[in-house]
Amino acid sequence: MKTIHDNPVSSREMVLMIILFAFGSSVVMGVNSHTGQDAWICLLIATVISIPVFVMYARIIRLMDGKDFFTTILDWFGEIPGRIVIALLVWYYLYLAAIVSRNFSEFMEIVAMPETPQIPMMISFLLVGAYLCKSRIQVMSQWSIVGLYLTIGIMIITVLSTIASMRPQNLLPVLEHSPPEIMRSSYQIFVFPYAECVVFLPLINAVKHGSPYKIFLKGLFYSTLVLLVIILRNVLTLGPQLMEEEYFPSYTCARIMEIGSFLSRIEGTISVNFIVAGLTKTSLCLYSGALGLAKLLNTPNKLDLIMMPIFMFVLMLCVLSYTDAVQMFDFLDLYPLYALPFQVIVPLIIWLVGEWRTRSKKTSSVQTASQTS
Amino acid sequence: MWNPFRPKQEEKQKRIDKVLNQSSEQSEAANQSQEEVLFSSMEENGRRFEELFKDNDTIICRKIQNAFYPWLEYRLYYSDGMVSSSLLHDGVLRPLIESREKPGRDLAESLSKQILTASDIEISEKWKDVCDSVTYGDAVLFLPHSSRALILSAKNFQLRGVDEPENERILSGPREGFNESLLNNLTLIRRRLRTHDLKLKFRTFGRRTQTKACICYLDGLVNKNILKLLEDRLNNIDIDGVLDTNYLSELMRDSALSPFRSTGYTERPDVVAAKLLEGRIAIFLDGTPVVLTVPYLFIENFQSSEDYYMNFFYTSFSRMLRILGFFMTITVPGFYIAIVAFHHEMLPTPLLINIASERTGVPLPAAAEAFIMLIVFDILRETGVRMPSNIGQALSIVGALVIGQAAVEARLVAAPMIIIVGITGITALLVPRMNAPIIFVRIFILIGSSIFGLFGMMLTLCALFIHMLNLDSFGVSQLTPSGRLQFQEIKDIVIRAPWWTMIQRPRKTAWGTVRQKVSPRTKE
Amino acid sequence: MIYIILVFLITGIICIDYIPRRQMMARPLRFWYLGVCLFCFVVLILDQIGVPVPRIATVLTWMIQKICGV
Repeated sequence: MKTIHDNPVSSREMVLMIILFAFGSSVVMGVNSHTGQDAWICLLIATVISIPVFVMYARIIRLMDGKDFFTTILDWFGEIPGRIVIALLVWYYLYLAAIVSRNFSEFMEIVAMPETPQIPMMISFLLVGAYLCKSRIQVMSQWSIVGLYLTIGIMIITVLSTIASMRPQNLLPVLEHSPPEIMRSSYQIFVFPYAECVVFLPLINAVKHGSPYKIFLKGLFYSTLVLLVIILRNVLTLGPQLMEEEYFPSYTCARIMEIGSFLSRIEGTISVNFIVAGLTKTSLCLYSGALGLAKLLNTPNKLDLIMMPIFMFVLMLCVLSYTDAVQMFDFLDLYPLYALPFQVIVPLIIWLVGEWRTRSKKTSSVQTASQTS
Repeated sequence: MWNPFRPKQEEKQKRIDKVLNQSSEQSEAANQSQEEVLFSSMEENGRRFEELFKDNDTIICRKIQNAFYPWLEYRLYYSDGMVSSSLLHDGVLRPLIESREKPGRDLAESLSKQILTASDIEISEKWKDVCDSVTYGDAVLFLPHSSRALILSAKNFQLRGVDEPENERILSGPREGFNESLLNNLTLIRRRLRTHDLKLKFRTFGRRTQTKACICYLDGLVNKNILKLLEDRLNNIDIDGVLDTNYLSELMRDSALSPFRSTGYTERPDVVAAKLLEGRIAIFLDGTPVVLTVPYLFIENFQSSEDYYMNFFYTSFSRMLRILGFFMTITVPGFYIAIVAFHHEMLPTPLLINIASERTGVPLPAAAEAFIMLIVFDILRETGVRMPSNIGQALSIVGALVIGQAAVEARLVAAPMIIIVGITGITALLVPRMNAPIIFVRIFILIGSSIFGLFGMMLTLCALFIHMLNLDSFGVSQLTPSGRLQFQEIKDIVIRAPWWTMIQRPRKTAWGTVRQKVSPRTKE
Repeated sequence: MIYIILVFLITGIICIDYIPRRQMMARPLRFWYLGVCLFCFVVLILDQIGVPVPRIATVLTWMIQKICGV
């Protein structure tokens, strides 16, 4: 009987999920770089850097030819190395989910509710994320359609409301920072948020008809657009110095905005943006992690049974990630070094092994065909 | 610690097993006796019948003897008050007593075909059929030296008339409503759908009530998978008695714990006919005017039949108003609490000063106030429902406001809270079908926003939306019936597009999608 | 206060999620489920009591500094 869970995800919905994912933490943390007014240039350079990496991800999916991601890894690598690779990826996904939830609970605490302890906030956030994750990918895709249009709508409203306080002089002088700084900043933007799309590797095979190249590249293109608008809005409204010093530049922007002369300080409504984006990002990370863990534990793919231990584990990671918000922002400098192996090196190994395996299978099948003929 | 006064678990289980076995033995014996066939002698049949219906003083026995052939004796049993005595008189008693014709060799056949003039006669040999029919209003005729009995249909009991149901009044359109008789209800549907495709399949539910039900659908339009799923679920129902379609609805629902329904209900025949035309399945039950329709989409909570009988601009607006009303009634208390308790800065300053001055001296925190006022409002509304209708309507709303005003003057609650509760209650009346989910969802969102402010409210709204996305009704997703939002579906969801644009039927609930061949407007 | 919330959480998880679904899980999976949940619960309680549990960011920072010689 066809329920919502039997409908395939369309490639358009997957693109929307990628955009919402990239939008995720950047909505809260801002695209935090140390190059104030050149941040948009760094963003564009980061996009250019990401293109080959995304093409590599898409090639991996294409090599797998529609089969389940983790099963194919076990096929290609064998039992023990395959399990190690899956365990590394699962650790990355679950820790990413914990980092994102920690970002959001720190944000809620700093901005709105300093006296509320963080653990209840983390618990409620992760519970809703786990519920969304338990509902499987089809519900997540419908959710992300609504979520993305809502988020973009609110973003457009904020842009329109802050136009009055925008000053084009804030973009000058262009390219004030030296190229090494710009490259470093671009690399940071590449790592967070773009290359986190490694989370989508296990999920893309839910799309039955559609080329993974197009999905990844379209997602990259549209998320660049969205992030560009956010960065430009922040820089033009706040100015470079304020943007560098503020912990949450998007939120500060929302504080400035005024609708008419009577409705101001309505930054509370921006919380819907943050919650939708953060929930989607957390759920996608949890979902990939749960799929990998289900493969490691040899349970069937229905994730109902293992969702709660994963929730508790991620909650524990979330509490134990940072001592306080200061360490959270400081760790952003070291995050590229931590994430590089998981985002680039492990997919590179998977890709190379995949190419080798597929080629050897093709040659062996050609050999058997020539032998029989 | 072993407590000598508390029976051990095994002994308790043994006692429960013994009781269950006893009752199952009894029912087996009863079933077995009913599976038996009639005796060959009329006296024995009569004696057995009277034994079965012992202490049942409404059963009347009428002994009949033909005037011309004294050896032709019959016995007629029926239930007093349930049969039409004129039908029995003209159709059964007079022919039997006055007929000069000698009945043929097969007494039952010749009586039913040539002598009796009743309009519906069945011949049966089983006790089960005999007992079932007498309890439903038929009469049973036992024949001499024959193990076959004649079951004569002569039902005549008092029924309510066909009048508009109270809960589903409309401004313009048909005003018929179902009543408690299954056959009357089916007649109302058949008059509207005069096609041989309309299939009506009977079933019974309930071991002791043996209630008749009817599954109704249009053969060319229904989705056969849904029909099969429905029949599987109905076959699994094994219960003592079914008195209302709600019993069936809860026994075959999809998600057990969700506050939202997975089957629709209605008391109007035009609504049922419209749903059948969309390929849905209707379930009628004898003894209740409420009819279930399956599958059920979420948007049907907001649809009303008069949407299609009136101008589409007006009805599109009404429908959007209803959706807005639903949204407001669940979020307004939570939103107010979130702003007043957590995000004061969002209010314009004059309003903030007003609200702050109103709230001075009020003992309770805002969230507790909101809970208490909502409960008081619900109590008054519920009381208004049970009151005689003259004062009932006035009491609920006006009473709430008056009590609220008195509470404000006594400084127990703040004045803005009364306004909020009033808005909540009045917008809830826009969608009367969703009374049950609204109460639960509203409290849930209120709890979320009183703990975490606007973030909590957004989180609970997201959780609610995810839950609604997960809802299924007989295999069709309630919120996105065709898998994803399509333009065709929107025509009937948020707005009500004019009839000349609705060329296709909703895809997942029906088999054939073309509703009209070509829009009449293109012919011009 | 947080202790109460954590205790409610773990009892809620075990009563609402684990016990009705016990039959569907194989034995090793049951042990894994309970083990992970209780381990995380214990670590969270220890963290609340004040036992200095090392933070992951600190550990990662130390590792990266050691490896990259920064």
